[in-house]
Amino acid sequence: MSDLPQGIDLQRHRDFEGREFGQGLRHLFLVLLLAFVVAALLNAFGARPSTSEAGAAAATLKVTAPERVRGGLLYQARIVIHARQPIGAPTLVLDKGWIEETTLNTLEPEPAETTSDRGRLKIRYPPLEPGRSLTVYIALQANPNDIGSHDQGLALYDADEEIASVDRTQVNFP
Amino acid sequence: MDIVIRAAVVFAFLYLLMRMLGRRELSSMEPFDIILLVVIGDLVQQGVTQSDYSVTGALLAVSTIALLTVLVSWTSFRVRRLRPILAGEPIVLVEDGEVVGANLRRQRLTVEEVESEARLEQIASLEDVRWAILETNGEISFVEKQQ
Repeated sequence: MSDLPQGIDLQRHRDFEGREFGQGLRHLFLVLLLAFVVAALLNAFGARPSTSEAGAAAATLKVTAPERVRGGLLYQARIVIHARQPIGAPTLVLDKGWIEETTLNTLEPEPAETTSDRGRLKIRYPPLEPGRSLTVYIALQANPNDIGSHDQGLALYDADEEIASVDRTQVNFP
Repeated sequence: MDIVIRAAVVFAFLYLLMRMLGRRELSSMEPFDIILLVVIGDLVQQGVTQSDYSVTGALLAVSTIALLTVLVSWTSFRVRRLRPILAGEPIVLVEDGEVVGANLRRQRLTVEEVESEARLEQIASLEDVRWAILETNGEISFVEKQQ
């Protein structure tokens, strides 16, 4: 009578016959885990800020904000307007991707007027003289339920006349 | 709804992780491992409930995880072919006093660790061991040689 413990099959449990696939799967999983972490270090899942810029004769517009964020993350967008010509009513128009399903914590400096137009946020500031810059800081938080890609374009107007615009997209991870 | 999905995703990921990491990492709990376990629990909780502080949310997350645990266990019980995948299989580490080196390497186990486990079972030498088997729960069972 064999003294092999019950439930033990030597071919399978000692020699690993027929278990090569499982071993391969384990190695593959570990490689995928490593790839996941390396991808995160390379900013695949945010939230390293990037800068987009647009220029025109009257002014330049520069936006610095992360293009990838994760649910619940607090982050900041910095918008810099540099006037080359006088701008009577510098107005920033933010696509709804900036604010829809996103908590806008603070907007500094305080705008002279804030309105909404077809879901886009319009914020107007006092006149800007040539050579002057205006830096706007927006503190945001991504709502955890908001997943996917959002248009986060931004345009600079002088009253109703468009000066420059930046096309951006933000991807929200769960 | 989203909290149920998040809980299910985290459950699936953790299940896969625990199956793939190797069972020795899970059964040999050093003080650092216990701290790590608490930290992982905290990180997972944040991912599942996020900004939901409600009792309803907590009940939903716990219910989802409990149901999935039962589902995995029921599947393992009912479907024999899936049992090795879901629960793992035993591995022979020592046969007739000789260590099976390839299997120790697969589990990142040293001979010293097996000897230590043997001592805990009042076995002085691996030469006295007929079978040492790494069970699916990560523990090593020893069958001594007949005198």
